[in-house]
Amino acid sequence: MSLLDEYRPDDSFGEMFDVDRVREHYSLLADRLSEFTVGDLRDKMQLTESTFRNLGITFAVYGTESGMDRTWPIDLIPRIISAADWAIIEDGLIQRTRALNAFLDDIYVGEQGIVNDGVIPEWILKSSDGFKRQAFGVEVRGGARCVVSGIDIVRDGNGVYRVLEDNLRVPSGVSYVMENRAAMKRAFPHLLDQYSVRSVDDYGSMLLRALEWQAPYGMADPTVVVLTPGVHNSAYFEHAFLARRMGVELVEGRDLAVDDHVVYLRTTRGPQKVDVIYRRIDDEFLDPAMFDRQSVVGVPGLLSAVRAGNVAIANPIGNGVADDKAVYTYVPDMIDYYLGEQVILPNVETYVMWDPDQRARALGRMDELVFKPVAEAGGKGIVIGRSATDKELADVRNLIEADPRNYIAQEVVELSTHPTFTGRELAPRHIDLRPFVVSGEKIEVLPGGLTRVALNEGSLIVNSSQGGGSKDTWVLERA
Amino acid sequence: MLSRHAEGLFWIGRYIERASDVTRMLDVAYDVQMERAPSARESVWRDLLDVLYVTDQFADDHDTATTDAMNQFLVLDAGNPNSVANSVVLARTNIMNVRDVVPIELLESINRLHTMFVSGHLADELSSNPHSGYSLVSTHCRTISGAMFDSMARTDGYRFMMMGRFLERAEMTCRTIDVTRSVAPNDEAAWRAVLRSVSGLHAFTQLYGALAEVDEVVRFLLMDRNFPYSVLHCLTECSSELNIVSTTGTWQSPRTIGRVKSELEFSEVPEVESQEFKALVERMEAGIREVSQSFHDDLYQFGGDATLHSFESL
Repeated sequence: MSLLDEYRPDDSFGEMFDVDRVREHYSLLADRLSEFTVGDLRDKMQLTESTFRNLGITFAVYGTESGMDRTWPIDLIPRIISAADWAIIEDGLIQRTRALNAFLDDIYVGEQGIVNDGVIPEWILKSSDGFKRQAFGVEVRGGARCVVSGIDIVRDGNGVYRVLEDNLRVPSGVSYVMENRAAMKRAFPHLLDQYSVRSVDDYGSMLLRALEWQAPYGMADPTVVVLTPGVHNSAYFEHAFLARRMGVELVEGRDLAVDDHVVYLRTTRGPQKVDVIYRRIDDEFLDPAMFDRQSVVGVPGLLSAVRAGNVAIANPIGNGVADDKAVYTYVPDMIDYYLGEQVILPNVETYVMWDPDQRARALGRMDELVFKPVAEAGGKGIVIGRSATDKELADVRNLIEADPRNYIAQEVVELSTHPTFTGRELAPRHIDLRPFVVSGEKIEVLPGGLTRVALNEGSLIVNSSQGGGSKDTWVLERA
Repeated sequence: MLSRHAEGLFWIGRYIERASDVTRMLDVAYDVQMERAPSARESVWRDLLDVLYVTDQFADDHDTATTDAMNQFLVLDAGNPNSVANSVVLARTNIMNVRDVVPIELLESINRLHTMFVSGHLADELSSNPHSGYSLVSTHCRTISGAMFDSMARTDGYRFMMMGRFLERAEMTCRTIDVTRSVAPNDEAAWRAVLRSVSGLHAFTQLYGALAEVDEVVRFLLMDRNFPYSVLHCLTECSSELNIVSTTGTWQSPRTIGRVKSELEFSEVPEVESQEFKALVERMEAGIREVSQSFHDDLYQFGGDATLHSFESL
């Protein structure tokens, strides 16, 4: 009995199957899978997991047994994106990033034209937690403010790619894109070489180029570091991974010192000047002198060095305003306002809860919508109407009525499904996609990105912190 | 190199050396006690507890020093700060903290050793055949050494790690000499066991023959230049690495180690049963601890705080 014989597609948009016919770009995979049994796949999974454990490819899950790291969950059935589809996604991501960069530059160092021209109400900005006065007047070279962004894309029931949310602060996941590919090379060497899959291997140089480009005074050969909250952070593996790939130091706040508005590394040979910091610490914890005084992971005085122009940090402070889910609703307007272009990747249908009409209509059909707090990441605080209990619905209704600015409602997107190994069989599971976009002298997109998969049947929650898995994502070369 | 990274690498070196040395000592003691009368077996294990300064801690949870109790306490019990398990856990924690500056081969080999402890594999092996359990750990430790030797560039990071290994080794050899001196100064079999526990019996026998005297064993363990576990060899290696990584004159530890090393290098080794010998070994042990302390101060002389590693007994 081969693996695909018993596969039963569901009602969602199928990535691999169009009803029961295999889509063309998946046919080689289908052929290959027909040679495998459940036992074969189980063996490959086991091998992959023990390799991940030995290499320490793990992530910490908060709120479980202390310090227990889980090995990174990968599903070995790859997600394949045709060259034509990728062209749309890539163009759409670059367009969106250009608009977001322009927006952030406009509000922090520009004339705030978008507010003055009445496109976005001023109070929306002012009430956003991510809008930081500390960022005013701090220039960013080329306006490339979204140095690294992870823009989550879903595919609706008609197969249309839509942007679900923008992550413009410290998005993670890119290291797993590369580790997933390495795992697939070990598990399915003969399948990969039958396809022409675009490499994901040069992300390190892509990122380093963009970071070096931000160096103050355009200096040559700047010292770049990655700043991590430390080994207990859930994304620590990734921080170390990126430092290795770029060949730069991975530092914690305690490894840095600021003297006379210049940042130094504490090395065994004395202080060494730092020029660019790729920080994986949220704004609020960066500098206890300027933000949270209790922060133990930050660097006192860091912001003074940034403002003096002696060090560049990426992503810059204040990006959170642009991935606020309330501001998200205006991104199509930004594309129109700054670029004068048609939107390539549409948003998901969204209702803002501070608008009395939209709120009344949304609260009238709560069981059909998804409710999201505007400033959270990682799936926190999300309530999916149709699967929520009465109490959860009542709670979120109270939260919305108490602070309407803090919530949006969205139509449920029936995420596309993909054959996924359950340990016993292949079954359809919902997936999304987090591609990574790097802004420097130009905007580049890593081909593919992290495909996240909801491992429970019917579930729409793909976050790895909430039990989601991942897949290697293959973008095919143009034929 | 970051001070924090340097400290982490130094301690990885120490922890791996400690894990490897303790395991070898257990293996030899296990072997020696088998040929003793049942009533005399416990004293072999007791001597080992003395070498490691853990006699009192052992008494907290165990009555008799049996093979099983020793394996539980000195190998598997991660709650015991002197156990092999604890060294392995701390080596792994440290490697995670410095994973951006070490080769993947080293990280992988330490993870594999760690997995053997947490999976229960080692516990099973030790209870069915202690020797093959020790041998598993030793083999993994040699793989780790190989990864250090083969895959690390000879930059400061490598040197800090080697310093940790040699300083730890110097200390362990000193302690073994000290305990044997006090419990069985003239027992040739006991000194042969010491040689075995530092992988030195073969090297020694080749040099001095099977009929050598105790004083020759002691001199070999303390100051043979070519034997990798002799105290002088370890201090010399550690000192030469330290001289390379310390680029400014403000470092104190190169002076400290130079002093300790010279004293050993230019002294006549006193007779084993004499007070002078006891005093010499104790000065060596104290000197090694002083080196470790001043080295930590040196690492953070430009600011920052040490992470405060230590073995409880240090």
